[in-house]
Amino acid sequence: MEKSIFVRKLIENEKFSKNQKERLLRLVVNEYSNNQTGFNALVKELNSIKNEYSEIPSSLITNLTTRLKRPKQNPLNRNSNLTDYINPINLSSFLYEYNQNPILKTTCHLIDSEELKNILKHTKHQEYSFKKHKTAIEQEYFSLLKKYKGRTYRSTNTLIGEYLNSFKNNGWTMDKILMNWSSPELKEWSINNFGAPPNPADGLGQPFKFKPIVLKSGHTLNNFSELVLYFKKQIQFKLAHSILDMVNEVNFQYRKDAKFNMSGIRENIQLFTDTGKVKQLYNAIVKMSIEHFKEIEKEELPIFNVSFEEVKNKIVFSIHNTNSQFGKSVCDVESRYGQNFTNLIKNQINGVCDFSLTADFNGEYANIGIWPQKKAEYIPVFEGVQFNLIFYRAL
Amino acid sequence: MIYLIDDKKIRQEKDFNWNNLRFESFQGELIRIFNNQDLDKYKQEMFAKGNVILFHESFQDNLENKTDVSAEKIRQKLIEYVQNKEILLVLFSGSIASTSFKGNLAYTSPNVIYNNLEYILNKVRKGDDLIIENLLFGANFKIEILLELKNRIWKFLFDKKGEIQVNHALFSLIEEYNNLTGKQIVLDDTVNVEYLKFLLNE
Repeated sequence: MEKSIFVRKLIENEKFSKNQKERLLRLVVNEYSNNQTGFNALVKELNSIKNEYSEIPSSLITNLTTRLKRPKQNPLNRNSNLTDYINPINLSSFLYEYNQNPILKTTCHLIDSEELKNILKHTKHQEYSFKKHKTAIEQEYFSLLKKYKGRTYRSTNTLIGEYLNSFKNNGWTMDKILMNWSSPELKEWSINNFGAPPNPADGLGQPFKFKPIVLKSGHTLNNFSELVLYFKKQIQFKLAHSILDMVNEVNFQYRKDAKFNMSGIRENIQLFTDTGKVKQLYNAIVKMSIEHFKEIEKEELPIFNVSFEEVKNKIVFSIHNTNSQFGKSVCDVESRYGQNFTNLIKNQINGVCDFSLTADFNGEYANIGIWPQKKAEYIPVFEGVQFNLIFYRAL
Repeated sequence: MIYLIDDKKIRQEKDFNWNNLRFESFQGELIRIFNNQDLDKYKQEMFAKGNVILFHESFQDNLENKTDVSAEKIRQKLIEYVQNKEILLVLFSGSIASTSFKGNLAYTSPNVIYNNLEYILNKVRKGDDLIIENLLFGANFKIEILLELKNRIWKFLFDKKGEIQVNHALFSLIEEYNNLTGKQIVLDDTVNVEYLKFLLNE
């Protein structure tokens, strides 16, 4: 029966007391969504009740119609503390364009004769000038940022900002590298070596050398060419610096706490992304899973199958803890995220990748879109807990 | 046949001394591809068994070679296509820090390609088989690979003394060294740097 007709019949029914009628009216409105059919008719009916039936307080009717008209909170909005969703395709596109731009690419490639020719053409100068080159870099980066305004991942902007301009002088990457394109030492070197780019390709001169920077990995950076190539590793995975290398580095810390199988990783997949954030994310997921395992006091070690593959224009990085169960029910996950997921989404996921969970939720098996949020899809059976990080290629 | 797909003519001549005359002396062994028109001309025959493709990674990033499909997708398609085929594919770029290879796919710098190119072309002229190690390390590839690895290890240990924590980087380097030499240097959670150097020098 149409809601408006139901409401009319309810009010006209003498068997209900005034209080019962009021309660029933509230129930009707509570379960009603403003995009269901018959909405306008219901509002109209309530307004006519207000005029025709004095026993029902007009303030109640006003309240109910106001509530009807207010947009309902998204039932899938599982945590109001989370920020707005940022589509990760913007990050891939942004980094791809950065890498392709004839001037910006000189900050992540060694400069050969052709790159030098491009710089001279752009700066309208016969001889290489670091000052003019740097100005051109800033202008091109500013244009790119403007093009992607509001769509880029803030952390990557900070990374590049520190690398190019000593943004907040906090250093770039987890190594907090302070040497960058705006360092005073580089400026001084460029004055003393006028006409020489700081990151030349082989055969085009010597790079700017500095006091060795020791990274957390134990490797060192000794000159500006090495620094530039290290920066390139922060924005792209490929065979030369693959996701497998990253995974192995993280796994090494947990070699006594877990078993890892990496046979599902396709090393030859190229992907523009914030590789540092992906590393943080992978580390957080593995750590969280191992801690959960210890909490439930299982004697065996957790087993992880890690895969990285391209499936229909999506690149999926999956971390599958095969001998576990997810500690909450499907309903619990759908209704509210815990602190772990909230932190992951805020600090690593949003803007970098999408995130879904496929798991055994204590006997229920489902795939749930965590970010962006999607309703659970129940599946016949699944063993373990699989974290799916989904990336997209540049448009 | 070797297919050299590189849009950077100036770099070939100025940085690596590969001028037209030098290239022409290897006409029977090498085909040069500078742009999409050239690529269209040779794209069918390029993937024949036994061929070698040397591909400048930014080839399609060049404005003259742009297509509707993104350069990234084209590169990935190329990599997928040659998988499990008897073709060697080497991608080279000025953004690659070190040489790496797996199966029939490799990444390296332009310097490595052009420094080894004459040796490879002579090998093809003689009718010798080519393996990916030849393309990347030249004639004495076994020695070159070991020297390159030792160089990396020495660079890693350069500023370190006494007892140090064994991290993943060091563990991987020694594992690679063991695989290459057949030695069995075993690392605990910590290692003495001087002792490690002694073992590497034995």
